[in-house]
Amino acid sequence: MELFKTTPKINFLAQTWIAVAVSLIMLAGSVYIWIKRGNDKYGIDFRGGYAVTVKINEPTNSQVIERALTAHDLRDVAVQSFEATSGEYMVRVALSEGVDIKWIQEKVQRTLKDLFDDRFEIVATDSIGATIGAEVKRKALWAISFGLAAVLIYLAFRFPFSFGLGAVVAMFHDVIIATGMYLWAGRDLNGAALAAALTIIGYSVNDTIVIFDRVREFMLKRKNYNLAELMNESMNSCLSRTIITSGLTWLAALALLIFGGGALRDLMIYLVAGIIVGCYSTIYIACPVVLWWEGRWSELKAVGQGRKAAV
Amino acid sequence: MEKNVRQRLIVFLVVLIAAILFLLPTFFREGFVKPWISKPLSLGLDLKGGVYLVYEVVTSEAVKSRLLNIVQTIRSDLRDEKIATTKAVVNDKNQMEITLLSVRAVDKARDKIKDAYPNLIFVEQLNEGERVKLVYRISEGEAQRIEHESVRQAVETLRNRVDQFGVAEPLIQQVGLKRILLEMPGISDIESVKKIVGKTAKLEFRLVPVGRAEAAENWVKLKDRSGAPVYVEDQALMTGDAVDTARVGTHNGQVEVDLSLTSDGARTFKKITSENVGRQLAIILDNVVYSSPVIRETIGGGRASITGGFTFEEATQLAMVLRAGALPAPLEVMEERTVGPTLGRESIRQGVIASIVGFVLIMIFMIVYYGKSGALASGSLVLNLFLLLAALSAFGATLTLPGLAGLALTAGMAVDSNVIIFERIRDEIKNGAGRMAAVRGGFDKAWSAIIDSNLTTLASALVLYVLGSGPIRGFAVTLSIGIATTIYCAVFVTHLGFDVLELKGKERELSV
Repeated sequence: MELFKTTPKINFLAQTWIAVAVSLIMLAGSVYIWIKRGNDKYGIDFRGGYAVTVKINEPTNSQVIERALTAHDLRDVAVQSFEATSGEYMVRVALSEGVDIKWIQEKVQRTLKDLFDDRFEIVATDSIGATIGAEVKRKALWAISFGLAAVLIYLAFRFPFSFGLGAVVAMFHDVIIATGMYLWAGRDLNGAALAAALTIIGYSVNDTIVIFDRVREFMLKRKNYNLAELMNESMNSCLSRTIITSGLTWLAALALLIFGGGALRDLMIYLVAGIIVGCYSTIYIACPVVLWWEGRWSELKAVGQGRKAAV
Repeated sequence: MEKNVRQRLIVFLVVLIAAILFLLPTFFREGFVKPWISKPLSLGLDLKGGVYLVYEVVTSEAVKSRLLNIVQTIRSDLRDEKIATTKAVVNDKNQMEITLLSVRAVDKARDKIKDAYPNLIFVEQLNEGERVKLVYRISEGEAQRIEHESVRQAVETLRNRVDQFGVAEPLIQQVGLKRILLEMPGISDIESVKKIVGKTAKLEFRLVPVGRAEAAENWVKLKDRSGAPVYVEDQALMTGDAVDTARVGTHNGQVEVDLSLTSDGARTFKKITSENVGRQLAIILDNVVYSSPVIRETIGGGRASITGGFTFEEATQLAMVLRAGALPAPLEVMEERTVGPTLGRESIRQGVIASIVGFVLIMIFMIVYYGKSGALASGSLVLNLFLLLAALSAFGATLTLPGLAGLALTAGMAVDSNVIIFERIRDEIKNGAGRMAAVRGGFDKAWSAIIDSNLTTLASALVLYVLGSGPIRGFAVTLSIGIATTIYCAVFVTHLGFDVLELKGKERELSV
């Protein structure tokens, strides 16, 4: 079975200007959402909140409690059971705008009353600090920055410098937009989102390198070439690979998004958005950056105006 | 050719058997206990639950030790001004008492202290014959600032210490004003956690006085490890801040902890040893004197060691704690118990089912699309995850949600590697190559794309591992190992599969 009988000849780069415009709008939108959601976008892992310890004298499980609390407007709730026999649960609630400890306690009280009538008690309420505190955040930022530097250095050995630059710019583009979509979907930044962002970085770079590998191969084979056209060719000859790999991973992520629950869902929202942006950015961000850095921008125009390639 | 394949088959089998051995304890938890080569693969707190500890920072101790510090610097400042003092202590009310030998120096001393420490508040002046006791305290605000700072610092130190346990993904969180919540997954031995995490680890080097101990006022009585009293001077010449790293070593068959000092520490230590040749230097940890060797000569080079009849395990724990740094104040355990997973059992069950469904769908597609080679690739994908889990349990790693994210990325890249290879083989076939030549050409041409994308990811994963902490580390560990297994499976195992089929003369049946 094959997707394409012959190598397709799609002129991807002809739409570069439209794509750049779309990307800029998406980037601006992501930044807008980031700013608009203010402090509210950080979940409990980042800014702490309250821990309400409750004792329930009836068999139940943390999922039931969590769902009920979420239905009662409590955002970013995590419920954890203590030893199974004790019937004690710890409800962690994020601090958010206009919410204080009294309000949270009242909400928990009312929700549990609906669920268990009188067969529960609130044992203790404490304020809790962030699990991803300032120090972890600072460390994470350094780690990611140096990680990117490592990517650039490795790529500089294996590819012309502009390729590494293109891969890294595309990766920033992907992380920003995927984060924007994630926030737009109303989710809060938490530990799972951090893990997802790292995954997107890996995914995006991987996708870009596979295409660039093909471009490099073509560059070595030929003496005179139009770089933009080589990129088009590379994308076309890798097209079935891109569709299969990205399609499969995207479908798998979608399956997990639909059937998985809780923090897994947060991870997958990110991935579902990120995989699509990751493929798109290889073509429309990474390649144009290379052309621009190499001073071959004019070749792009030549491709655009030249043959109106068959689609 | 044939021999080559045989060698590679042997490698493949050895790796497979090793992986099975490492994973056996994970699959049959009960039957395999201590003598087995690896522990069962443990799940993180978010997936499984674990140890839950609530500590309270004894912040008054932090204030006190800070005051002791101040009072001792005041004393040496006064000494520089030629004002003699006999005693400098912190009393029960957390006030600093400095006793001057002579009434005449009082005004000068008070002016000096006022200039140098504007934050100190003068309480009273007590005349005791010729001697004068000056009492100072610090403001409430300053004390509070020290308390807050000590809790924040305690959280950081705990994080450092817990990181020394390796890849376990802990939760460390400040609760209320003075308490710290610590959750450690995959650790069943709560006592050893408490020993390492909860130890104050205040390391001090003090001189042992010469002559009759009870006589002098600037001496204090401590105990050695057997409980016998030991007199030492009240002022520490060097503290744990001077320690850069610590490791376990042996000397004359005795287990000891070797310290290598920071450059400042090395200078201080050289000065101490050169000025006090012939005297005993007590090495004190948490107010217990571990050893008090006689200084025989000036010690340069920034190395010191602590002996004291350790067992190897004690020495290991001590080295770990010293590496991570001292706590600013002692911790008290308020609560200890075990907790359930943060993610909830139900959502984990759903996640596992969803992952399996996703995985099976991918394999079905590969088989439909690539035929027998697709089956080969599916096999190598399963093997990949199997090896990854085996390696994780061999390293004693803990599987957590960020770890699973790393695993998902690995699976994606493994699928990608296989797809890249097969598409290349198809290209070769389209260009008219024979079947086996196409396979060889396909692998050769796919190699650079696979190696570059994986090594790039590996480079960043290693950096994340070294510099990151907590969730970032968990992700980096699975990803780094995953890249190794992916390259092995996609390139080595799948290729081997093709070659074996060729040897058996079945290449005609092989579809790509």
